[in-house]
Formats: sequence, structure tokens, C-alpha cells
Amino acid sequence: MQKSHNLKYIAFIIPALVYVSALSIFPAALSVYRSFLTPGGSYTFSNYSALLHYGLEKALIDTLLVSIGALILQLFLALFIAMIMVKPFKGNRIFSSLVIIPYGISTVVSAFIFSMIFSAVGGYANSFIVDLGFRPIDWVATSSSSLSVVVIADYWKNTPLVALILFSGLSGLSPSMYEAAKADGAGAFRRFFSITLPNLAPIMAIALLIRGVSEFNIFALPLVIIGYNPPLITTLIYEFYQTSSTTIYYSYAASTILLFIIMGYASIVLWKGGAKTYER
Amino acid sequence: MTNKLQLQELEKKFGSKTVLNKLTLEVEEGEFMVVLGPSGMGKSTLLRTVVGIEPLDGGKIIVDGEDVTRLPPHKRNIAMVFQNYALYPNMNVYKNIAFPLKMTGESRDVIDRKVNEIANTLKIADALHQSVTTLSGGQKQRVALARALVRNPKLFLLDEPLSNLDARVRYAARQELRKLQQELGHTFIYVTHDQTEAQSLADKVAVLHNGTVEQIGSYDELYERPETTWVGSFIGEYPMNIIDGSIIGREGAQIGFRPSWVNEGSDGIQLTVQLCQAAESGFFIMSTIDDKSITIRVPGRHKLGSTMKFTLRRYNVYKDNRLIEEFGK
Amino acid sequence: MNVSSSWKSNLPLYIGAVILSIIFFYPLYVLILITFVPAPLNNLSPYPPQFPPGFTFYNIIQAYSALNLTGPVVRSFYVAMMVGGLSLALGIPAAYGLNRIGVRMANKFIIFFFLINMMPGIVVAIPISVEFLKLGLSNIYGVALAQELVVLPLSIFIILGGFRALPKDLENQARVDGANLPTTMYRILIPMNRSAILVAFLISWMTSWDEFTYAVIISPVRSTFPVQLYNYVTRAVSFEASAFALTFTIPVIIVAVVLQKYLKSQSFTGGLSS
Repeated sequence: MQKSHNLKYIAFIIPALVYVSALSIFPAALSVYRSFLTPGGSYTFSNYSALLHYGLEKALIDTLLVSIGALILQLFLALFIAMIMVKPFKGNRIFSSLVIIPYGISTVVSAFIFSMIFSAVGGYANSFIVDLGFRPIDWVATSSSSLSVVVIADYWKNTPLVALILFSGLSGLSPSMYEAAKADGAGAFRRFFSITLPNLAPIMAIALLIRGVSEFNIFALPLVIIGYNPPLITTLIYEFYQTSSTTIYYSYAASTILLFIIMGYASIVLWKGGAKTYER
Repeated sequence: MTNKLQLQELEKKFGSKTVLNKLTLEVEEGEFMVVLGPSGMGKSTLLRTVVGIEPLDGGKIIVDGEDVTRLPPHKRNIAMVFQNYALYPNMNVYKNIAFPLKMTGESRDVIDRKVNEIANTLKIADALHQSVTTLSGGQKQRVALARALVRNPKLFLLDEPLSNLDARVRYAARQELRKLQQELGHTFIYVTHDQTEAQSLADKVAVLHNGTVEQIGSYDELYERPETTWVGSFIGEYPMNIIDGSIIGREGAQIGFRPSWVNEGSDGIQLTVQLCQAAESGFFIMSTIDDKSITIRVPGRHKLGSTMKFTLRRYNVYKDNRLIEEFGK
Repeated sequence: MNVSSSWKSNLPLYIGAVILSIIFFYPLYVLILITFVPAPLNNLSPYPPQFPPGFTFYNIIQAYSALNLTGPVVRSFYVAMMVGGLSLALGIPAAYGLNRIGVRMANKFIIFFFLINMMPGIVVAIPISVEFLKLGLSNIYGVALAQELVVLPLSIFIILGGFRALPKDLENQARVDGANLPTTMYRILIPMNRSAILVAFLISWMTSWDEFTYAVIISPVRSTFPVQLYNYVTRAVSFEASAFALTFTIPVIIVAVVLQKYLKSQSFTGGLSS
């Protein structure tokens, strides 16, 4: 009877479960299935081999570079911001709201702003560089400078979220811990490395998980700022999707690869992060 | 006359823990029944199953001859006052009391009349348009009671309704509650762990132990004639003394006696005074016999460490923890 | 360290705060610059000045008369409302159910919802778009249905947090007072949990207003604001687009201000329970 009691309440969750499954698991499964089909409907691996021909490897490496670059930049700066945010000083409130603003700015708008700053002609970055007496840079000329622009735009948009997460972790640390360390004669650096960092590790794992997955899916920013060149995995998928009814099967194959990468990443972070949480 | 409420072999488990174990209980029309038991003995669970918010694993609940076991709570017409009063914080006092009437679809005039009536009876008419969050503990308890009374249900269940009040308010509230119940003639089932409440409120007390009713009767009956050694040691300001029968020559049995059932004398059972406590009615001597702590009441003071002797004027004989004989009554 | 600490000891802190503030505010400053500086001196000059040499409303007026703003704004508004509404329609019952089945089982469902949430948008969007095309949903309705995926887990989580904070006996009391489950929901549980529900609605609303991936894939034409902005950007009508972008940002700021009023620190952790 207790069981049936529970079943009654599970019935309330079912609409949401069905919704999520129908619009998420089902399409993803469809993607995986269709990635092994030809437009005619017979089974094939050709979609995957075509991907290699169209530069999947480079797109993957570039995506990885952008993700790692943006993650490192975000984590580092966010930690810095969060450590300022927990300090009680005059102007703390202004500082906190100012650095949070970018998170409220729409992704497409931020992409647009950065494309304005880093355009080769009429860009504000170049006007600054010229003012300093250097030669202007054509930001979209090489793939590495293009990717750098994406990383910078991404870090601007998303650092606030990471900072907020780390801030909530930092404000949870008890001041008495620091006082005890101070009394034991630990200097500022020592306190940072042996108290702040280890205690922040679980929450950093959460931030890494949330942001890492999103980094790999980064789509609007590169599409608006640099278009399809160089392609990241998502823009490559989008380009295949748009090109023709044949290439859409390539996009299924690339989607499948992206899906497995994300699942792998998520399980590694969950497993590592989970282990850390249990150790505490 | 059929009984107002019949509970037949109620069973309830939480996981592997049995909370109600074939509990059977009958309550008469207009009776004030107090269910008494230590905390965590399933008293609240009992009320929750009767009112229908906790499903049963077995047994039957019969109200006015009708089996309501499978009915949802809103169709049982049983009122309940929860321990924390569960007033709706998004409504004012008036709307809280009116809520059950609204649910039965009463007209606005009827609701207005009944709410005002009950508010006058319970002396909360002045607070009707206040927010419930601003009320004192005593007022909250009255509002909760008013909300339960207003729709005239078949049965009232009260889950330790006075335990959140401070001592002085609690005393007055207790008197009022008893008076109210007698005036209105409603059937009350009142759950508590507080013996003084049971003593001053109840027509009948049902003692709950191990998920079942161990004994039922008036408080005095429970005190004078506990049917099990457990009830004996649970009821009363001081637990009933339980000693081995061989001490007075009743082999294979246990002897139970209240502290006041003894005569101090020059022979009989000997003990060493470990504590002597003065009270209005005499002096309470605490000691141990065969590693069992006992308490007796005597007229005179005794020094710590001194020895004394007493005889039993009256005692109950228990075998396997059940009463088999009363002696000297 | 307390607030009255001297400026000197806090100097590195202030320098850091000022530098970070400048870094984070600069892009917004550029947006304002492009929008309000007279045309040849903004991004149309090869090396635009960093400080405003003049001020004009001409760009904004030009943008509003040259570009069709109303269509996308209205559509975005509709979609955001639909997504917010769907979040409540699916999220409130789900959160209610999760609150009643016990923390352990509820946590398993929550983890499932969030794992689903990690599914890459583009991976899901393409097959959805192909299927929606067959169903005649390659429009803003299809966009709303798909965007709901992004916000549903968080909405459930936030509303669940609200339910968990309510005294358990309130629902029981309502049932005892003669209310059936729908009435209890409508009269007691929803009004009592309204701030969490509002937060879930506003977050869904904001997310939808900003969402690009599903919108551009499912409904590339006659779509929402971000897709329209993307179209303008690729057509290189930049200063009109910047006026457009600034317009786009204003409702988000308003919603964020409203949100801040209702947002409590436990809004995102309330659903967590050990």
C-alpha cells in the first residue's frame, strides 16, 4: 500500500518525464540511429568517413582549445573576482553588480559587441592598438586569432556565473578556519593554497561541470563572431545541416560524436567531483 | 448505541518498523478520549491514519457505523488540529476559519454567521481580520480549534495541541478545552505524552505501547490497577515499584506497589536510604532492592545512608508482566 | 578585516576591483558608444575614438524606422511567455510529486533531469527540427516547445525547493478541512509557494528571451529577436543592429531587477536536501 501511495505521486512527475524524454532522449537517439544511414535508408559508415574529409579533426581540436582556454581564463578570473567579492570594502556592492552585468546580456548581443570590438576595420581593439603605436591586427585572418576572439567573448559572458558559484563556495568557508591558520603563522599564500583551494575543490568541480559542458556546445558566439571559419564542432554540424539533405546525415554523425564526448566529460567530472565530496 | 469510532486491528509499517500493530480501539459518542504514550510510539501516526492522510497497511476504520478506511481525507468529515496548528499563512484569521465551510460549498451568509459564532465562543472575534502570522501561541491554538469546530464534523482529532504553549497559558487552555468539549458534546480524540493533560482532560485514557493499546480506562483506574508492569511504571509521577515476588514469598511472580502503599515499621523489607525528598504529602525515600530502584513515601524524614524497614499495605501481583491478582485493596 | 580598514591596506584590493570593473564594463561601453556616437565617428571610421566625440539619437531613430522591430519583439515575447507558462504547467506538478515521494527517490529523478539537460542543444535541435517540419511546428510554437527543455529541470528544482520549505502539515490540514487535491493545490500550495514559482517563471522567461540555438535551427525565418539580430549582423548593418541590441537588453534588465527582489539565497539550493 505504501508503494501504491508513492506511485500516485510519481504520476505527477510523469508529464515532465515524458516531455523531456520525447524532446531530448528520443531526438538524440534518432541522431545516433540516422548517423548510420544513407539518405536512401541503407546502413553505412560513410557519414563518419566523410566527416574526416571535411576536417572533423581540426574542428574537434579547435573546440577543445577554445573550451580549455575559456575554462582556464574563466576559472582563474572568477576566483579572483569571488575573492574580492567576499571582502567587505566600500564599493563592494557596485563592484559586485558591475561584474555580474555581462551574464544578463544576451549571448547574441555579446557576440555582436565582440565582433564590433575585434573587427579588422573600425574595431575598437585595433583603434586602441594603433593609439599605442602598433600595427593593426586582422583578427579573423588566422584561425588562432579568430579562436582567441571567441575565447575572450566567451569568458566575458560566462565568468560572472563561475564567479557567483565560487563566491557562494567562498562565503561558506568559516572565518575561524582562517583565524586559526593565521594564529599558526600561515601567510596569505599558504592560507590560499592550503585552506581556500582544497575547500573550494568540490564547488569548483560543479562549476567545471556546468561550464565545461556548455563550452563544448558553444554555438552562438562563434557563429556570430567568426561564422564557419574556422569551424568548431557545433558550427560544423550547423553548416552540414544547412547545406543539403545529404550533408544533414553528416551532421547526425558529428552530433553523435559530440554527444559521446559530452557524456564522457560529464561522467569523468561527476566521478572525480563525487569522489572528492565523499572524501570530505 | 453503536460506538462513534471503531478502529479494528490497524496496521502501519514504515519500512521494517512496525508503528501500529493490530491496534484496536473504540470511542463512544461525546467521549473525551486521550491517547497517552511516550514520544515515538505512533500516537501521531494513529491520528493521521484515522483522518486519512497516512494510508494504512491493514485494518478498518469505522465512523458512525460506516467504513471510511478507503475514503480520502476530504470525504471523511473528521477534523484534526495539528501540533503546529498548520494555519494558512496566506489567509487572515477569518479566511482560515471559513476555509472548511467554503470547501463544503456553504453560502456566504452561512459562512459569515458560523465564523462569527465560533469566534465569539472562542473569544477571537477581535482578531478575525488579523494576519495569522501576528497571533500569539494561545490565539493560534484557538484559531486552529475554531477552524476544526466550525464545520461540525463527526469527530475531532487533536495532536498535542497544547505542547507549543508556555506553561501558564497551557493550564488555562486545558480547562477551556475541557469545558468546551462538555458544552458542545463533541467526540474528541486527544493525543499527548503529558500525563497531567490526560489526568485533567480525559473521560478515558488509552495507553499506547509498541503500536497497540496496552490498557484503556479512566486515569484513576490506570493508576490504581495497571494491567501490565509497563503501564504501572509509565503512569504516575513516580513509576510503580516492581520487585521480585520472592521477597515477600510469592515465588515466580512480580510485585508492584505505589510509593504510598507502604507502612514504615520495625520489620519487613529493609532498605538503605539513598535519597530523601520532602513533599507536601510526606517524604519520598529512594533506594535500590536487587539493583531495582524503588521509591516509597513515609511520614518522617530519614538520614542518608541509614537503614529502615517497611511492609506492604497493598500490592498487585504480576506474572509475566500481566496483572493476576490485587492484594489489600 | 572590517569595513573601516584604511585605504592603504586595501589598496591592492581596490586596484584589482577597478581593473576588473573596467574590463567587464568596457564591452557594454562600446555598445553604447556605437549606438550614440554620430555615424562617421563610430565604427564606420577605420580607428574609432575610445571617447565619445559627439552624441546623437540619429542611429536609434534610423534603426527603428529602417528595421522591422515589432515582429521579432512580439514573437520573442510570445515565446518567452509560452516557455514560462509551460515551465509552470509541467514544473509545478512535477515538483509537487517529487516533494511527496521522499528525498532519496526525488534526488534520483533530479539527477536524471539535469543529466538530460546536459544534452548538447544542437544535437537535439536538428532531429527535432526535422520532425517538427513534418508536424508543421517549424515556427515559434516549435521554438517554445524546444526551449522548454532548457529551462524545465531548473524550474522543477526551484519550485521543489519552495515546496520543501513549506510546513508539511499545511497540505494535510487542507485535505482534512475538506479540500480535494486540485483545490489544495490551487488554494494553498500554489499561493504559499508563489515566490519560488515566480522565480522559476522569470528565469524561464529570461532564458527563452536569450535563447538562440533552438530558435535559429527550428524557425530560421519569422523567428525571435536573437535570430533577427543575427540576421542583421550577418547583413552588416552594424550601428542599427547595436541600437537593436540595446533595445533587446532593456527587458532583460527589468526582469532581472524584478527577479532580484524575489530571489533568495536558497532559490537554487532549496531543492537540494540530503
